[in-house]
Amino acid sequence: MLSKTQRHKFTLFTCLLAGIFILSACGNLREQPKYNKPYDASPIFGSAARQLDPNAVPIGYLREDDHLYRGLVNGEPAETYPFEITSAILDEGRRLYEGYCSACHGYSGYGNGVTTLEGYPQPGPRSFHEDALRDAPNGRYFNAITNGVGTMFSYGARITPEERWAIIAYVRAMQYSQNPPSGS
Amino acid sequence: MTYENERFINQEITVDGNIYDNCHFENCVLMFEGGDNPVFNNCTFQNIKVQLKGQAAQTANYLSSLMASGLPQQVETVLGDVRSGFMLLPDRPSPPPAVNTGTHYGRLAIYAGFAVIFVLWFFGMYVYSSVARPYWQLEDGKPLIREVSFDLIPALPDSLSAEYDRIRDEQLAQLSQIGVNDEGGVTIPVDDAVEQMLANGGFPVGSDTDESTSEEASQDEETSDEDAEADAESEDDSGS
Repeated sequence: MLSKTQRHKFTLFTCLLAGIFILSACGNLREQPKYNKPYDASPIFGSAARQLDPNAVPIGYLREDDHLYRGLVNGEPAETYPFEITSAILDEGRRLYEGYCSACHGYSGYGNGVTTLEGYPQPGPRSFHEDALRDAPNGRYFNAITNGVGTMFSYGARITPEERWAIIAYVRAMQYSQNPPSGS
Repeated sequence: MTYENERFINQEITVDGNIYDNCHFENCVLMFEGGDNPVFNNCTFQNIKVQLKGQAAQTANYLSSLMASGLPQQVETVLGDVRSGFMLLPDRPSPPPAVNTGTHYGRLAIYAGFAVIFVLWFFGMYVYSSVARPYWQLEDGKPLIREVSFDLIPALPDSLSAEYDRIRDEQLAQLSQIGVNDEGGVTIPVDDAVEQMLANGGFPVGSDTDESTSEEASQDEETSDEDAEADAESEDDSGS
């Protein structure tokens, strides 16, 4: 139980705290001088907001690694992977492939997904087990996922570059599965 | 307010702003409180008293005080004007025609209906929440909302959904067993393919620095080729 003095102190402290909160709302902040639009004329830089530098890059978007982010090595489609492929990455690639790709390319990669049964415009999705695609470099797959190709639209905004490489790795595993080298 | 052809008997009437047409007043007290000027058209009066109240009484008091202050002549002048009708206000103009007046019980009923529905809904939800899952029975870690099981609406007709499931299973079976491909070759399960590719370096890792590496490698190759040629020439020389 608080003593009388303590109660008084507590009351005083509470009132002081409440006063601080209430007084902090004083003043009409709407009336403060400000620019109404981002690029209003201003004597400082010519406009209220400075124009972006032509080469400005948002934080975290400086994607200098051509191999990882564009599938290119020395300007050519990459044959290799930008990072080590593990079984976990392949599992993730399988999950992503079945989510994003299988509807058109089929679960086994033969280009016979369910969309082909529903009037997909011909020529339909290609089979990953054709010689041309088996021999295509990884960078070509990366570009197709990123920018789309033919009637396939772009997945660049939905699948991260790392995920694209995981999908490519799984596609390679499927190709290996359906056309294993002799002796395997 | 307008009164027509009415009889007022033994009443105390506040006449401010009223219009009386063809009315009869008998044994009445006509009270004026200083509001809008009343209008009496073709009215008859019998044994009437007039009383002033409020602002009107203030005016009378003012005139009385003028009398007491030694200005009786001026007061008499005012009263003379009153008697002559000079100070009478003109007839109050007739009020504008009524527009959009009348009772709005229908609209009121609609609003009241909404209010009643809202109150009933609120009360019903309160009762429901108390009865179905009273707050005093809530336990930590359990959701406040009662869990209700329901079936998701299938996005596809059952027949089509089953057909798609069959296609998926058929296609996945191609990746999970040993078989024969279109070219007559053997296929292996994709899991085995993954194991073999991981074991055999089936996923080569490279980087953007390959250019310098390859250039160095090509330089090395050129150097070794030159050495080999030089060796061959020396061998030829020695042989010859």
